[in-house]
Amino acid sequence: MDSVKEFKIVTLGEGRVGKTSLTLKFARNEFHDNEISTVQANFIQKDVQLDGGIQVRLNIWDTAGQERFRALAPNYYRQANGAVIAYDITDAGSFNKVKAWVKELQSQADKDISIVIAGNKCDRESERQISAQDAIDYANSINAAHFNSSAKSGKGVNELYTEIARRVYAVHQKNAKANPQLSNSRGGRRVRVTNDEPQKPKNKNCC
Amino acid sequence: MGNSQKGTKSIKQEYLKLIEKKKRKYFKKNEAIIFACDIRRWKEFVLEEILDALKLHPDADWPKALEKACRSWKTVNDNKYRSNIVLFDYLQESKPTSNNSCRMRRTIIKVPDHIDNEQIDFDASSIFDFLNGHFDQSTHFIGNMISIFHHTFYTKNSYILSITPEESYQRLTQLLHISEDLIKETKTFIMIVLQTMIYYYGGLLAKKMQENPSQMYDFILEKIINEEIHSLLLHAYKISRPQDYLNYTLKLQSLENITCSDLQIDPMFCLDKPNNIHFNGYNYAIEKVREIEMVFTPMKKLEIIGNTTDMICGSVDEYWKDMPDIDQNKLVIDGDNFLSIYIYIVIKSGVRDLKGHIWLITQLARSSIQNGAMGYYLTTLEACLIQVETLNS
Repeated sequence: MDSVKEFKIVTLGEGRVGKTSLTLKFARNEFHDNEISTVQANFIQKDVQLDGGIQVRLNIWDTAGQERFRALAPNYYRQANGAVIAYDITDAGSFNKVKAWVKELQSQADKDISIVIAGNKCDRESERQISAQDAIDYANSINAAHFNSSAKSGKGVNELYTEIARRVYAVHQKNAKANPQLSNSRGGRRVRVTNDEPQKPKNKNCC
Repeated sequence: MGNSQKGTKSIKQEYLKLIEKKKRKYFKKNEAIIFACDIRRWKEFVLEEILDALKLHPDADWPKALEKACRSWKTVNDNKYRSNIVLFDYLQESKPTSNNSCRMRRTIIKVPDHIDNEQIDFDASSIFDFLNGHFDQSTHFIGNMISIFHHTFYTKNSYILSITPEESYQRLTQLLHISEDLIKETKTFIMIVLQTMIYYYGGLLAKKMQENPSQMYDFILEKIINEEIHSLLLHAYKISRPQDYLNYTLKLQSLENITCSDLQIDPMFCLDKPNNIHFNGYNYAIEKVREIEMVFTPMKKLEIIGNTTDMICGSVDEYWKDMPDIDQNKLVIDGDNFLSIYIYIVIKSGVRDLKGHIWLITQLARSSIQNGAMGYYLTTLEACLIQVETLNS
């Protein structure tokens, strides 16, 4: 049986847009509130069920959003399969930061990185500063998905993580087809276990 | 011969027949794997690996010493280790599935006294436990290889231990690549040992390795990276980058009085309040970071980093435990606070070689850890060091 495929997902976005809360909301079912007081929500591992009974495991890396830690971000997104970029729908500036993150990922992250944009705090619709259509159009223009989300109500949270899981898995499948099983490149003398007919030694020195 | 003796003999023969049948069945089933490689020629194959290493590292002494030892090695004593792995696997397969430990057999084969009183434990719970006992024996080829590497690698390079970072400035061109060279040699040796394991033990071990490659890699690393090799590699890193080391040391000194609030940590997590004399703050986590100097392998170092994270949460819990009405949502440590707390702990731990330890982990740890929890904590530690260098006292 194949083991569950794991993917690294990094959560990016300006400070205070609700990145940690989003991750925590997504993983909340796995926490036991009575047993945990301090919640360390920076690395979360959660399995997601995709169509066709496929199960994938997301390793979600939370990042520091404050400007003083900006230069450290590449350490976190290197080798990431996917990125959830969050902004606060009540803060236009945080949406501009999304565009900066996308540019940075496109130039510095893995070329196959999948992106999902989360318009967070959608429970505060009346304070919205970013038009939902503008955000969707932007996401479409960069081949990303967009979701309105609320870590408070839970709206859109599962959907956005399921979408990133679906996307990273699709990329994985595409790459696996393009690069089938790599052959052993370490030379003929070295050993591989195969189902081929064995070459029996003359003296069997075995039980 | 009485009737009862005849009866016992007949039962014994029946039993032996049964065992023989089981062995044949096991052997037939696993024949393809056992003979996936020509195990008779293992020494020849290992020698070729060593000769490759000699070409890669012509100035190193250990490949030459290994070549000499390999050529003169008498393989007769190795047979017991090599055939016993098949026997061990057979016994593992024939073990009853019941977990009732009272009924479990404990079979220890004691080799005659003239062979160094060695014991082979067939009751080992895993292949790694079983192999563990092999490597300490002087008659075991791979154990002997590792001893030779330890001795020659250390003897050849121990001169670097007397060079201080200050002195290394004058010899910078000579020492610039010392850490890269030594780590390359170490990695070559690790690969030789892994490959030798397959030649030596045959396809059965290759299959076990394929089933669990990371565990086998960690197992081998435990054997190879001992205290002396660890100190050499760490020191090589230090003297090949003396400026980095001295700058970081000075930075730690200048920041030794830093507080949580200086680092803009959320007040909920500022546990270093001077009026709280009964509380330990982050001291357990700080002590834990210091333990990184006392362990040698990447996995053990990573475990310490993981434990430090647990201790951060534990310290916050301890601090707020007498305040039951506290809003639990406020006790969520987000990315910014987590990184800031880690920076505080790293500074207070005063581990000057932390960069060297991280370098050792990244050089030697298996790549599969990179995207998991261990990878996250390691990245955070790397990020801390970058951040510490930019902080002003």
